[in-house]
Amino acid sequence: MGKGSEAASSAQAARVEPWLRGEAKAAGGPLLRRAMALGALSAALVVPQAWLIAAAIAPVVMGQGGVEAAWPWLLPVLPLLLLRFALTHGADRAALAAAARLKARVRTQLLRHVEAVAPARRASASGDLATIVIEGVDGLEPYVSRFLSHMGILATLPLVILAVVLPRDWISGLVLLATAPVIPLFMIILGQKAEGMNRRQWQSLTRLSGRLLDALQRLVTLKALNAEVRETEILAAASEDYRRSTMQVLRVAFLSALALEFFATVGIAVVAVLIGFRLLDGMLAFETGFFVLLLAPEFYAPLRQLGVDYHARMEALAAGERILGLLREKAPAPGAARPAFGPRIVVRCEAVGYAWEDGRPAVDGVSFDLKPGEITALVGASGAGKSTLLSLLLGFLTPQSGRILVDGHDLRALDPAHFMGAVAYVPQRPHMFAGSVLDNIRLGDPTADLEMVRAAARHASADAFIAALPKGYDTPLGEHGQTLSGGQVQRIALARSFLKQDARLLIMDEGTAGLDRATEAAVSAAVRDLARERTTLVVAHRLATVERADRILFMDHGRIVEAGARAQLMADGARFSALLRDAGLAP
Amino acid sequence: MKGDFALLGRLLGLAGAQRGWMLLAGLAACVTILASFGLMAVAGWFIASMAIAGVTTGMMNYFLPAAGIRFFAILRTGGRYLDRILSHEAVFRVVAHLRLWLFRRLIPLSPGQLQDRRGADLASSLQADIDTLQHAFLRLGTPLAVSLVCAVAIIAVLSLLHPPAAVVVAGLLLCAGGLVPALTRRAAARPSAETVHLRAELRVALVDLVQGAPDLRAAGAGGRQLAAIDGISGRLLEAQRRAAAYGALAEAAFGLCASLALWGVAVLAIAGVTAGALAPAMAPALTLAALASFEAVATLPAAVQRWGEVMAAARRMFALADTPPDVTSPVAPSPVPDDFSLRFSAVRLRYGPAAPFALDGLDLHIPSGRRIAILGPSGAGKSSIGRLLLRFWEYDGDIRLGGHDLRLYRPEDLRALVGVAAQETHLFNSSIRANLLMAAPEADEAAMARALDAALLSDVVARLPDGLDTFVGEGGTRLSAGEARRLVLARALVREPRILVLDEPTENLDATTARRLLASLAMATHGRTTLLITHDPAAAQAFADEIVRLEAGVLVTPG
Repeated sequence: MGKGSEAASSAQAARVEPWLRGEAKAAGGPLLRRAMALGALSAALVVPQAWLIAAAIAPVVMGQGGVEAAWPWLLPVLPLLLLRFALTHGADRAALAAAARLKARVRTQLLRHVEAVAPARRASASGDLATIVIEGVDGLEPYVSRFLSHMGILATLPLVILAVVLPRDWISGLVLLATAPVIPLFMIILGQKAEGMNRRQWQSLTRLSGRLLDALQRLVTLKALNAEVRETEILAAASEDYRRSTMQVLRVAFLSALALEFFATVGIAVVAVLIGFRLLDGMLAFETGFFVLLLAPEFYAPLRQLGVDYHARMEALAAGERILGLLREKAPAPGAARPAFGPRIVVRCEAVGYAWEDGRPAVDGVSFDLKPGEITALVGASGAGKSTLLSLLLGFLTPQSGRILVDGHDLRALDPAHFMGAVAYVPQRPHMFAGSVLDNIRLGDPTADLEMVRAAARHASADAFIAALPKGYDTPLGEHGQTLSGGQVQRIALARSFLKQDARLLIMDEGTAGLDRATEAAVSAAVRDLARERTTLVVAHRLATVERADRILFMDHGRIVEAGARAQLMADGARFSALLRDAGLAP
Repeated sequence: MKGDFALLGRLLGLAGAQRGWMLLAGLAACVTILASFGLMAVAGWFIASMAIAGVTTGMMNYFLPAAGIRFFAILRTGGRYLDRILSHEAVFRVVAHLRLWLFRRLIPLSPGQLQDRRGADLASSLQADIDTLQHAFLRLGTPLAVSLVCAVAIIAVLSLLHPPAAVVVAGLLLCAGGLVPALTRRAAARPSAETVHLRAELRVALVDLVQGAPDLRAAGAGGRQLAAIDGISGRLLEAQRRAAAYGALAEAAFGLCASLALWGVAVLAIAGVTAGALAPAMAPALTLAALASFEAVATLPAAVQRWGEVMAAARRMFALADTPPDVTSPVAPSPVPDDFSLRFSAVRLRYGPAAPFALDGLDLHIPSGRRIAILGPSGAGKSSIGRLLLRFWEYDGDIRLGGHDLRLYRPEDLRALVGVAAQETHLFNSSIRANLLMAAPEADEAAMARALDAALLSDVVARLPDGLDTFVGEGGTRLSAGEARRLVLARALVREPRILVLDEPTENLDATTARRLLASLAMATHGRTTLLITHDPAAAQAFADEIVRLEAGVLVTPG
């Protein structure tokens, strides 16, 4: 299993780089080109710098002059240094700007995708998603600012130096040229063998830190079994194993670094020795020899830099892999039809089916009608498929078989925003957003004024408790705000629905939180009020809700097993009456 | 800053026995840097001497310098390889050590202490911090020492050769490696702080987008939320870009300093030679050496930039590791229980200072060896009882086990007495056998067979291709939900605890299997104090000697 998934993930990784490169070009191509050009220019200016220094020092060494003669050569170096500094910084700034554009572009794509798939996802994964969108996208930066932007120097500086050296000192030029094939060779080694090795090293590092996370998440179980000491030993052994196997790989992988270092250092040494002997024989001017020796380290510098940037690239590709994994998740294709709905909407499910990825059916050939002016209650044990059915009715998921007709139109073909405009939806655990109570109620219509909002809150029996909050309607809610009880949250969500007067269809997933008697009565009254004249489906968890429903759908293992009016079901619905009995709701 | 060094000291102290490896890695790094310095200096001197000999005597003993060049080249190549190998070896060892240290420190903490105030897992943020701390060793601790040692050595050598050059190089090394990075870091403090703040804001808005997705869709407000997030993200990117620009400034300044050193030393060397204070062949040697000396401090700008981030991670990790456990283990040995009865008196428990009480004055007596079913809707506090008996949470009120206060028992002794098959229990991604042995390392085949029998798993295991050695998958996903639940049961039974808490054992089972399982469990738990936690009245009736009903954290009269 391990091998297969590794191969799969490595195939995935192979797709990451072209994608990332394409995105970087699309987002900030001109900036990136500017960064490369400025960087290459700044690097190439090392040639005149070395020439001036060599010209200044050479006569002194050969006993042909003093400081005065050197100043004309030395002084121009200073503005040159400042120019290089300015060019380098300009290149870096352009690279950072290009990286920012890339991040903005990828983050925007991710956000649109997340918004599209999130309604059908489980809320528990929200932390993971946020991490990919924030830290994951931030992790792409080094790919542009460290890796791509340095490519300009890598591509030009060695050639420029060769072009300068070859005509002046062809022997040194040949030495550089002979060690130069190491560049493509090294790139190929890096691109293939070392790449795989580096990847594995990377994965094992991540896996190693993942193991601690696992152990911590299982800590409760481990402690319950008095097994925490044994787990510590296992953890230690795993760390040791990873270290040993990874170091085995690294010892080989670093050989490529060794080869690079060897050729670069030995290249310089050979150039120096050969220059020395020709100087001794008088076959070369010292100025030229010194000039070439000054340039030799610069010839290999971009290659060294590549080795340094390699980790930055790996990190960015790892981040890119996670992002791409998320982007490749399937999002439902939205329809475009925007028909005008009548005042009374009939919803018809025709043999609707939906199965999980592993093939287990969640909703299995369900058919029913929701009629205007009627409250339909959906009941069943947890895991029976109620939530999935709701997600299908709301268009968060698309049926894999059968179809859902809204006012005669196939839901699949409808523009989701247009359809949702006709729906008031109260989720089981309504979400309170960072913002005031007022903003939370007028979520769908920020232009609604306080009077309209208060009217809606009164309808939802929420006005009284909101007024009692520390800052009334301005009380902040959400992550860092006031915590509300389950009943209060539900009533805020109901107030949202009351504000949405055009909604023809009411879909409510009743909360399971225990409500006290007065709150329960208030919520029931509000729902009854809201359901009047509308087509209503309630996922019922409370007997009171079941009692006032016109029709009941009983769901089990993805199927509607019993359906009808309550009294009728009590009489001949064996499963339904058993459910009521087990729940302690019936004799 | 002073506190930072204390923190770094504590981190390095944690490296413990692995410090030898870090030392070796540092040594290899020093050799590499100094070899490069030596190579350039000797090469410069060599070509100048050869040139001078070429126009004067034509005689030169070139064997020694040529050998020196080869020596330094090979030293550098080998040193670089050893440096890479040793530094990775050291970091692997140190980080493994750090993980174990941290794990041991976190074991005594209660589950609630491993969550932040929103109930999110601290472990995942901890993981990011540990990854960051890897850098503390790889890019902070050793490089600082290496830079210092090499810079001092280089300046010492230069001051022997030409003191003015040593002064210039020392000043510029200090600038490039310390002063400029520190200044730019200070300048970047504001955008950096803004970055932290905006990142938190972005996270809140994103979690709103994901968790509130259905609400947003229903309100048609998704577009507005996206626009708001785009706004925050845009400001974040701008702040990040500004902070990074200061870092880039420090890097460009590093190059400027190195070139300035080259230039300054060239000027001083020429002046020295002109004044007769310096041998002519030393001028190129010093010039090339000055340029090579900057490799000594090359890692410092990045280290200074990462400093704050690493220190923040270290602070968070130590804060968690230093948390005093909610539930403390008594110093005295555990009392010997008189029997295996349980008595709860006015027990209250809540999972946070503002959370509602999960148990709100529970009074319950369970005589030794009796089977009791606790019945109630979900959220009534039933599962809290098992967590209390394992001493995962502190509580108000009094619980007595075998006549002695539960708090007098050491948690590990208690966990040997009490077995809980809880709903939140994990199965380990290993074989069925390993899962059972995790709970009871000394269990033999017969004991395992008995436990599997009681949990109605014998037939299932017999049908599996590898029997007991079949892997159960991550979290038991290769088993059906019902089988996984029963393996959790078997794992609790194989330890043969005197007191058993069975939390919803029939969940995910069809009615027939559920009935058979309860009958089997009734046999297996005969004579043991057993609490059956269930929302299913039929199961309670089939199993228990006595049924109590729990609602909103208190017992209500049975009925």
